Amino acid sequence: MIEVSHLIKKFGSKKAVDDISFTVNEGEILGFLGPNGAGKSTTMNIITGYLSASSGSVKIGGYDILDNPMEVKKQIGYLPEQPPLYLDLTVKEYLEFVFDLKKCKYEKKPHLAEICEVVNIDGVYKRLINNLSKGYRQRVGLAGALIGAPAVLILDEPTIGLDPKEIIEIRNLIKRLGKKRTVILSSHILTEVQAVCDRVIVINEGRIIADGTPNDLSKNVDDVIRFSIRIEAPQDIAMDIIMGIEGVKTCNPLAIVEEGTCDFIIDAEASIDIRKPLTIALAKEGYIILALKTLDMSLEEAFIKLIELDKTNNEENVLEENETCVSEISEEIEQENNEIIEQENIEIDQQDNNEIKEQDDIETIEENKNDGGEN
Amino acid sequence: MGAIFKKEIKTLFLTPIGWVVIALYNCLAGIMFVFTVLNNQTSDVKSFFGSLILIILMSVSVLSMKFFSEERKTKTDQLLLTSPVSLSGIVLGKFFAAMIVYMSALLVSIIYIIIIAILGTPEMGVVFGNYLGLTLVGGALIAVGLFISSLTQSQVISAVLTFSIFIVMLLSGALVDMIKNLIVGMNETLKTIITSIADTFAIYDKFTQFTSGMLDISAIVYYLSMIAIFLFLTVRVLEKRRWS
Repeated sequence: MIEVSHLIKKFGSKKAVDDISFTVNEGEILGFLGPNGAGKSTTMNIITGYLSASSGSVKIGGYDILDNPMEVKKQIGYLPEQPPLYLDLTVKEYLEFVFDLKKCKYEKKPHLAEICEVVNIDGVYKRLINNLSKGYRQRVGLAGALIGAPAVLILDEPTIGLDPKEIIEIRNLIKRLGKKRTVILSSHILTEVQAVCDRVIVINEGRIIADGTPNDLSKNVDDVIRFSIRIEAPQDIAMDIIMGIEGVKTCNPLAIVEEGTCDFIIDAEASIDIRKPLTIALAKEGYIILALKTLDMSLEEAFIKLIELDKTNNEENVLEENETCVSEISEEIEQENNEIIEQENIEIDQQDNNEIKEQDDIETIEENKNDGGEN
Repeated sequence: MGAIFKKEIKTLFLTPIGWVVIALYNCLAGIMFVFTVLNNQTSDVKSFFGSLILIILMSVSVLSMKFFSEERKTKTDQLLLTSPVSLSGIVLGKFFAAMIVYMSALLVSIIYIIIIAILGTPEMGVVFGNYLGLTLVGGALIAVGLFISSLTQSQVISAVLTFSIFIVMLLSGALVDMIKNLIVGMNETLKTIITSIADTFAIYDKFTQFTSGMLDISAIVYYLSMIAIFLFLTVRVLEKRRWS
């Protein structure tokens, strides 16, 4: 449905998009992931024809955006990062204007009524857009993008600035829409991409650094497998045994939950299966494993790792180019890497906390909702 | 084009801008009418129409200041440029909407002609000539204003710049006279070059023909080509922005 090949966009001497190629199949929901300023919005602006690429091509439904802009634009519904709303108009006037602008062939009234029902803006239909909250403005923008039932929806950070309840609603809406349409969605929130998208492309500094399903990304990103384990043994002895196993990289003790047992997080090399030797070694000493579980790296960690990897790769490239003071700089890099890893650990901890908090929030909201319903 | 035209008309009359322009124009024109016609107890409307030029400059600067600058600032241009509409359709839609507001301001001023007709006999040829001339001058000025508003995101800069350029255009007619008659000893070819450039932008000098009720074909062609050139330049500015 969407074919993007070797897209480059330069702003002055800076490359905002640097040789991006990908295809999106019909009915797929693709997530664009990347830190702020990675080139997500620029890529979307090029796909929709708002900007033109410095080189490379975009084809949608077989039509090229430069040769056949009208045909391409007819197939696209675009919601930019800031919804393009005329604040002086009412929702009704705005949607009618967009309808006329897109030269839709549907009957006007039923088509608009249907869209309003889908995005749930019936209640504000006659109000001035200027007086609407951010969440409603976002929905009106989305309604505008849906007018004309375009085959391709391009949504730039559709949930930015919304409250948790609205975020869930919009995500569910996008999922529903994605059943019939091809959707590209950008975000820097990972849980969102995990929740909504079939496929994820990670962009950093204008380049694609990963492409796959959310699960693939967290699996393939590293050569380390992480286990959590609970052993019935004194902590220090158990730790010695674990560190003695071939392939174990690190072993971090956790707080004791059950008396007489101890918990650890173990990072081991992916190429060596440590489970069997670990079980045998512990059994030999008379200790029992109560629980052993493989932990998938969360998308958050994968994301940060990917970006850091990308960064170090870049730095190494630069090094190869200027072969001066190699040893000194490599030492520096090593130090930097150590620092990065430390930072990463801190960040991961923080993010875990945040994630838990977010989930709590969502749960409370859902509870409230249920309560409300009962009342 | 139709959708944009309709929407622009709607916003111009929903927001104060359309009304302010019409009110400003007619208020100042009324004062001029009192001074040039009623005060002199004459039915000669030439000086009245001649005095309208400055008022039109102001009204058009205000009218055209927001057309593209506001779209860019509120990012609604993203909607227009990603919809299946051509750039010329967008520019023409806005141009005709501005023309409608401008012409409704002119239309209200017909009331002065009616007053003269009751009290005396105005020369109808002069009246028609003037209205045609005012429409053409207004069209050319609006095209220039649209072009300038496509260059900047700020409405204030757009209005100030537009007004300044209009004043320069007003003065360039005088510049032509000055160079032709007053400066002696200047290189003849240089003189011709400067005067012809200044003459191109002397947008009001061509208008004097209309005030005396004459239909000057070359002036009509001049105004129509000014409109075409500046609308074309506006389209090019929008097109170029996509590539930079």
